Amino acid sequence: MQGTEDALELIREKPYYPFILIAYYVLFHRHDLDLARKILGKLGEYYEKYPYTFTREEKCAFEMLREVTHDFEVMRGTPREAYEDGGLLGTRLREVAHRLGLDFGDCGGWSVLFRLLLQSHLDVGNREKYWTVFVEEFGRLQRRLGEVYEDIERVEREDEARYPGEVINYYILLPTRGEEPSPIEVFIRAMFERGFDPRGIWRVLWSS
Amino acid sequence: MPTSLTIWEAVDEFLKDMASGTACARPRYTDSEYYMRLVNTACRGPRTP
Repeated sequence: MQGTEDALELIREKPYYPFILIAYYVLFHRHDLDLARKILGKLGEYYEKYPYTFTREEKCAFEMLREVTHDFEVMRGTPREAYEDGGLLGTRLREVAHRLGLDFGDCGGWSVLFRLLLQSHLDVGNREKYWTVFVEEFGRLQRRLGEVYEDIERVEREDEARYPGEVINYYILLPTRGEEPSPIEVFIRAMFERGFDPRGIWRVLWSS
Repeated sequence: MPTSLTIWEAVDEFLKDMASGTACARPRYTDSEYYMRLVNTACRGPRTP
């Protein structure tokens, strides 16, 4: 049985990240390129009309996945036999992974983790390399909040030295210190740790 | 009594359950319409060989 389009009716307004992640899962773990493209197509309607409602990370992740599915669609239009000799499919996928690094190298936050996840699936021979960077980046994201608190404390000390005896009010909204990683980061890390069988790509492209 | 998850609570619970590998095998909120819509989309179809 194929996945239904039930979740598409939930795409009404921001945030969009859950549907980007579900489209990823449908594509790489359920091998359903058509359904993944439908989800991205619905997101694309909002992206075209209200681009400002996407966070920077959502924008990056959405564009990455749209680029990958577009490439898959082009590849699917080629007879499977053309890819069966000489490792052409692997070469083509590595090109896509490399391009993601070039096109989305400026993206930050969880979209970096998402890019590394996609690259690890497309360029399986370098999975360990991507994993090493992933772990570093994941740790950096977890430390980021602590660094923000340290910056605030430093500024408070500087202000105290600069304006001794004066009362300065700071209006800052921050998440609670020690908060758990976001469900986004937990999801992406779990997908990375679960691994990916590269044979799945054949099913994505030529199972239907 | 039906589970009254908001859409965004359902989404976050779903992503956490996907991460732990239970969302598709043993969905926790079968009486949440939002949660089950996500299950129906993400959990059907052939899996990685």
